[in-house]
Amino acid sequence: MLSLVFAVMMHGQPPIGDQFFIFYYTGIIPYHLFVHTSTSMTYAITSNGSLLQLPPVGTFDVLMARGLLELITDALVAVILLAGFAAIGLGAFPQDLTGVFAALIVVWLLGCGSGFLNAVVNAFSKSWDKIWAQLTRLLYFCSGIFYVPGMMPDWIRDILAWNPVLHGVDWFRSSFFREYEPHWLDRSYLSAVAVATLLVGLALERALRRRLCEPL
Amino acid sequence: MIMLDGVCKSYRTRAGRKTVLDNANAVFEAGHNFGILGVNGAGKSTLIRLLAGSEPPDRGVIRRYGRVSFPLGFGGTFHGALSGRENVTFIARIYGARIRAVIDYVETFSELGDYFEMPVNTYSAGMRARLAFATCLAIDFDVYLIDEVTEIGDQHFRRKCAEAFRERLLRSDIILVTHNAHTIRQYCNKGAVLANGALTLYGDIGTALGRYHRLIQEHAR
Repeated sequence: MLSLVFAVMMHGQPPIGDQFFIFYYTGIIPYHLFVHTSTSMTYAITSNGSLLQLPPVGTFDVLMARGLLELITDALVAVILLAGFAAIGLGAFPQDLTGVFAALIVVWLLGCGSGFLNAVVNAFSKSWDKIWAQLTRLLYFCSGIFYVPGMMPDWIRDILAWNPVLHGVDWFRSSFFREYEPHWLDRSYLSAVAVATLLVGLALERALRRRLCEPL
Repeated sequence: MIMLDGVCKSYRTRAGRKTVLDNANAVFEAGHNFGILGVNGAGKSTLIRLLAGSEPPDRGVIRRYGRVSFPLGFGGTFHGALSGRENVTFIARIYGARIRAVIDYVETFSELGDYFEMPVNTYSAGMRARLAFATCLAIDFDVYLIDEVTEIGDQHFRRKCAEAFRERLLRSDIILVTHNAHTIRQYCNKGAVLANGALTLYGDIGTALGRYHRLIQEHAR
């Protein structure tokens, strides 16, 4: 629906490629992967009370299971939709498969790290999930999904470039469309943020594990 | 055998912190069956979950020797949207039991019939308990932890459970929470009383029951 509005607004001419739907969708895939992973992990502990009663199952297991489930689901959805686009005549095959996968894995790791952090924070502050939902909405506008950061004035782009998800989107796109090679894209920045988030998230989960499953 | 070493456990309620165990030391020896007594709200269910490892203690260590079952109680460890068969498959898998054998045993023992293929959400409390009992019995545990569910089900199923447990007691032990003196005498040869954060083990059931009855009278006053 939104992509239809954008398509009309931009006169059907996307910044990259020649189909607006494909352009828009290549931004949505990494964004959704991040949001779905980090959000569903927020609820993993509270919604699995009975599963956690089984002693062999710990909080780490349910969190990781949620993360993997989102990875598999989103990957399948992406494949099916892209195949659907291709079937109706919109060329939609990534030009660099390895790069596309690499981008998704790093974005997913960032999602997992944020998911661990979310789960920990949510155990201590009940309304965190609402705040996180708003933050992800804000992220939708800041991640270069329906535009390319290159269309922005330099100073805005420099601010937006702090957002790791934006690098995820651009990494994915630069692998999807070979002609797209943004100079602001910093793959190592995204990777570093993903690894750091994951480390902090895992450490907090381990340190506060005893208090995570305590019914508040 | 389960050993408690300096175990503390408390949880938050609206009326402040509630202490279940305060620096508790105890040994549930192998070869004995323990009946745990305590007034309502003393934290017996929490204790069973601690022994099982479903919940971590705030402080201290709980050592388990041998395979300890998941807590068999009202709470249920089943996923409501999955069928009985799927739930049993999952539990058999995480305990590394032979899935085929476990499913066959549970299907016969629980007598759920067609409900075995239905989501657990659609079960009555009694049916859930039957599924839980059957699953627990199907996997070879060294210690069974049971939380006040021996009174569930009809006469026929209760007798069947009692028989199955009697046979199982030749190899395994039971730690049981109940209010029913008859059930305790039927299954257990040692008693324990949980009161005011202290867990006291008694060599025979009579002493434990005596202490328990005094507690009830104090509590009523």
